[in-house]
Amino acid sequence: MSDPFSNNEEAVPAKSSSPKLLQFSVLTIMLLTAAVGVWVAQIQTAEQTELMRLEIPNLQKAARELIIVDPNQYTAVQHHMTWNDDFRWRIYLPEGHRYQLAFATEKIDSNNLVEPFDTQVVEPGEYELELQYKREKDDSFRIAVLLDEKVIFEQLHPAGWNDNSGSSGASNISDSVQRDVDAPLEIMRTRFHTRDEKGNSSSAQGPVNGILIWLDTVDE
Amino acid sequence: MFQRIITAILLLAIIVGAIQLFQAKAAHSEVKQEFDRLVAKVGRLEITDPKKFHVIPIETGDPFHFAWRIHTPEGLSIHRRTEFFHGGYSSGTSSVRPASEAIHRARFRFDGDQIMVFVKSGSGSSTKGYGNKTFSKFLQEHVEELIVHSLADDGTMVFDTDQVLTTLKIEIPEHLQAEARLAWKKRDKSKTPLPPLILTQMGTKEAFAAAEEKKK
Repeated sequence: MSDPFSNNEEAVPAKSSSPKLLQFSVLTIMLLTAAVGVWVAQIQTAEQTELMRLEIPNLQKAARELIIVDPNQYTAVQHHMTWNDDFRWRIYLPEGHRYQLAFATEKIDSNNLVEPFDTQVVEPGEYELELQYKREKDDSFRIAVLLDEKVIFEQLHPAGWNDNSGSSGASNISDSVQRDVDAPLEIMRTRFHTRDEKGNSSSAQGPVNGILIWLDTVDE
Repeated sequence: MFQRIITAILLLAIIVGAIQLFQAKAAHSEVKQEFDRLVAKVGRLEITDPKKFHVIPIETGDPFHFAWRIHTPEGLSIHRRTEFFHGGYSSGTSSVRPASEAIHRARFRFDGDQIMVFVKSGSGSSTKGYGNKTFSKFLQEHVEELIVHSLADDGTMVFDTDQVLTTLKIEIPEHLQAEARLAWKKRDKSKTPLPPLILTQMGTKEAFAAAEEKKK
């Protein structure tokens, strides 16, 4: 028979279990708070990221950036013009082919490609393309095409090449576009107007002076 | 035992959550970098009412180069007009179009004795030039003192379509008027205030007509 007055620690389980339960509850609450906090932060971060991600295509369009959805197609975009005759493009040439950049300044009609003044073979990749078009002090013209800031075509024309009667057409690319590589990609077609004997300026039906730049695949 | 299981579950939730958060933060940082780069380029135009004009300026870093991103509501034919300091003007009207967004631009360049101005509104653009070496020098020397009213130079602004929007108006301040007049045309003794260096406006034909009527 046990002595009711003895100092046996095992006889008082209620007193010892109460603080342990309290300790455990605080720990649980702290862990729960941490778990909720970490998951709320994760969800909020993912939501903010998704909102920005959804807005990016619209911003890319506004900024005139290259948007490559199908990497097997030509992709081209014209940079915003910040000055008159400011023609700059970003172009993407897909893997699997070699390409030819062609340039003509005479006998340009409304639709067809013509015998180029010069051509340049270009490997697949992304490039900056620029047309520089300048009237010199003697009214002659210097036309240059640059690929990644390097002049690849340059042509000089006398004053009569463009008699300042106006022109039709310009860059065929503005927002980012994708085109199949099976057909040539026209970057720019501008045709100078001509004057009749009365001095009236109009767009001629047949081939005229102007600027035509296009891309095509090169047969192996 | 039950509490130990709860503790283990919570610890697991924290560890998995922390890993997920780390990954989410990494993805967020990558997307934000691209997002911020694009916003720095063209601004963030938040369309709150598609039936109104929304305008946000674009930072160009050049005191003589102004650009705005403008949302035009659908079904409007927009008339644009630019008045130049030397008396010339250019104007054009677009056909009725779906809602669109375009970058509008006005830029000055000083080339020798030439002052060239390029204005681009959507697909249309015009360039004007006038030769005056003294006036060109005067403008470049006093660029900080010119009074520039640039539309929405304080974030996105929303305008009703019955308003004519003055995207840019640059004026010569009163204290420089005499010097400017002298630089512009030495023999001009007139005391009338000089016209704005440039005034570019856009709006519907009806809004322009109403503004003209109001002037009368």
